[in-house]
Amino acid sequence: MEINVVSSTAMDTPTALKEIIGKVNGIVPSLVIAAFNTELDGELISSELNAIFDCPIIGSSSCKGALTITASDANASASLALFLINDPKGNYGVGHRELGEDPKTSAMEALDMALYASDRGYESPTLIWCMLPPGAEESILEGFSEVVGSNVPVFGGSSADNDVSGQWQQLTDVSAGTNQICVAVLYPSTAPGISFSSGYEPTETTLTVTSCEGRLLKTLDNVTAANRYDEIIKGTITPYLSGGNILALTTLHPFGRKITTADGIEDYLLSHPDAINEYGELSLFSKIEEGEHLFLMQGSRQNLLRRANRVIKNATELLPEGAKPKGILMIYCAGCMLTIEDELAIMLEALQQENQGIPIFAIYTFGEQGCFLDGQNRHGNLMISAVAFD
Amino acid sequence: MANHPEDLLESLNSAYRLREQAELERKENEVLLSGIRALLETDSQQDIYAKMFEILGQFIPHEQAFVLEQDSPGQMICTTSTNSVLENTHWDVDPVFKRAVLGQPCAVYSIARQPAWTHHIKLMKPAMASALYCPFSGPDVDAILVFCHHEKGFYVQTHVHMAERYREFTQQTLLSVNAKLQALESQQLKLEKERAEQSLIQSEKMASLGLLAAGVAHEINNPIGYVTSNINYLSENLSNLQAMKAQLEDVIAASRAFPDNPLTETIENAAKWMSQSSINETCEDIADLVRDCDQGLTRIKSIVNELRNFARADDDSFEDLDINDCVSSTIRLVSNELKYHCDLIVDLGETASVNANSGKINQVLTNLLVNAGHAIENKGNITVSTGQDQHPDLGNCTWFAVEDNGCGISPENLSRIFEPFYTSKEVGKGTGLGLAISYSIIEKLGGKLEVKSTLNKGTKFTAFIPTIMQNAK
Repeated sequence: MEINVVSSTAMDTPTALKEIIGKVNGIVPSLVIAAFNTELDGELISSELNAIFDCPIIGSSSCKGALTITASDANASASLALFLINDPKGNYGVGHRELGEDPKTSAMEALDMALYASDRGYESPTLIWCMLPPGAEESILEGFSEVVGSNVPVFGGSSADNDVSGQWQQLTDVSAGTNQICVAVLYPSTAPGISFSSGYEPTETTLTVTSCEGRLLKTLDNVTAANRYDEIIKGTITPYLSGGNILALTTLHPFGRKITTADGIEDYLLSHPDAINEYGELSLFSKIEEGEHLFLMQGSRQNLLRRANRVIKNATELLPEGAKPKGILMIYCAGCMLTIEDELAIMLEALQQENQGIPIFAIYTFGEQGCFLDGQNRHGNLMISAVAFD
Repeated sequence: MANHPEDLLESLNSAYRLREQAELERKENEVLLSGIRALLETDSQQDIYAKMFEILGQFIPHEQAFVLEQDSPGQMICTTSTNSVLENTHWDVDPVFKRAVLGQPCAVYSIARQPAWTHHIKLMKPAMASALYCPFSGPDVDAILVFCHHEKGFYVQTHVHMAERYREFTQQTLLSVNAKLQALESQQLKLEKERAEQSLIQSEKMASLGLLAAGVAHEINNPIGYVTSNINYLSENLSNLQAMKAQLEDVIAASRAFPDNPLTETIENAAKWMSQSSINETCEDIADLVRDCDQGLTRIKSIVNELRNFARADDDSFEDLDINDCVSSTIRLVSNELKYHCDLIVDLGETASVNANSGKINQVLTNLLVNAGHAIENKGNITVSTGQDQHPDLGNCTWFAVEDNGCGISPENLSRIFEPFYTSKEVGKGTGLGLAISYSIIEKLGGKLEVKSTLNKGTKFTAFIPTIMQNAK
């Protein structure tokens, strides 16, 4: 297996594509994963990449660009970036479907298409990688589980734009759109190491969901959700209680739901409040159920800066003993990225130092899908995942 | 770094995953050791399977399990099962089973989707949803252990890796243990002797055939020579006889003009005898018979020539050959026939020159490649490789090999494939001479054509030819 990462910083699609094409000479990938600033034209990227590569392609827009690190270059906001897996002994397939009225069924159809295209469609994939439109991720994960069961690890992220205005895009080698479920099945020739983590710490403050509807949190502890939340985070969102975008203010104080493994190890599935409506209700980036107990979680900028390296280390440790990763594929929560946006250069430098010469590629997303310690695939927020390929 | 509470949580999570991995490995190692012990202690196939299910079940949970063994090209048979209804059922070797037969464990998330299960899924009571296929090679057995679970997608890559480690470990251990046992009991020597005898018998068979052909050709050639010569003489002189007959008829006619001639009576007696003996018809019949004989002789000569060609492969001109050139040129010729259903993988190594006839080597290569193509029913790989190595009987050799992952050859057929006129192909599709001639060509170069095959797994033919240095010695 061989991994290459290439990128461009040009902010017009033809120039970015031209730069990228100049860098992929002689590379014959088995799978291409693309990430791009949503100001670029996904449709053009899809058709041009399809003309160059004779392999499955999956991609998504990434908040303000993508992170790339190679032996000679590092960029925290590449306008267009590709993660190229060259693995002739592995099998890869990509499928897509419009989200439509029934996300679960669309997810099943997209996954069926990917399985069929892989040439090993009857076998359990090592990994399912997805790029999804935000909004119905839980149903999409259910759809995947309906096809291949719940034990195949699903990783990926929800497409992001630059200002949460809904301009996100997804693409495959034969499709591009703003509301597409794109999914890849991976049967690599060597087993990858995978890590998915929040890295946030629970506080002693807990809350009960007393009224909610899907991703809309109406009341907490029988009090209007925004007011109760503002109270426990000490007035951080007071100016927005009658409505507004609070995404950047809440990154360090998300809600967490406790997940306990059979061995008693505790982990937390995070939900990120992104806005308040006129009724003082909180909207989240993930679904929540009435009666659930939420922990107020806390994070720090310092921790967000360190987490990428930590997650890579965890993934790498799961590779066979002595194996050096050939490349790292990451999902990094866009909310986390925006919180440390001014200090991304520090994170970039630390990543370069710790992982000398290993190509790294990260997509900034508005929601993350991954496999928790208890083996279950879930959709969460403010998460970081890393897949280390050997 | 670990001073931060968040980092402590991360470390805890990481430690949890690592502990899980270590625990899994510990379990695996225990199972591997007990598995090997069981393999070495069992003395019957059924006993081995029973122990394998018991041992593997410790780390591969299952609700039903069964064994598929090779049966015939494209088919396997269930020989042992925890569900007796499955016993003796036949299974198609579809692409997933094919991967397992070739040594790659496979996890199938939904058996209802896999074509090979179409006729069997209804037999699974209680209903099963997913399966894990573990290739298993034990003493004298090449099988697939199938584990089933009611939960869809129950088996994942973790199980595949466990099964793979188990297969590799048991196979390697068994190989080394077997080798030691064989050395102890001189089994190896016995096997070598048997192999040598087999090879000798085969050589003798081919040599006898060559000798027979040459002898027959020689023996027939001599009588053909004088029969041809005589027929030619008859053919040339038949016209004289006919001329003489015409002259006699003239004499008879002339004598009748002079009835007082004292010879008239004698001449009339001769004319009467000629008429009674149908001399005219006899002359015409002789002309027809001579023509038929001539045609027959031409056919006999052609057959004798073919026999002589078969017997004297060494009559052709020899040259210093680079086998890699032969492979490249043959592939150019046959790739068209193979490209639609085979992926041709060419792995040319370093080779020393051999003294041979390029046409004959190409003939062997073509024959092996076409046979490999015929062995692959749907889609498969053919690997052509070359190299240089020490052969235990021939010394330093250049070799070329043609390997396919097709239907394979059953053990009972394998011992006969080099026999002339033996073919497993449909009537009219094979003469049964291709491999016999290939064998003869390589043998006449002082080399050996060897074959290894496993049913449904594939076949590998390797031709060893002594290098020029070796020939010089």
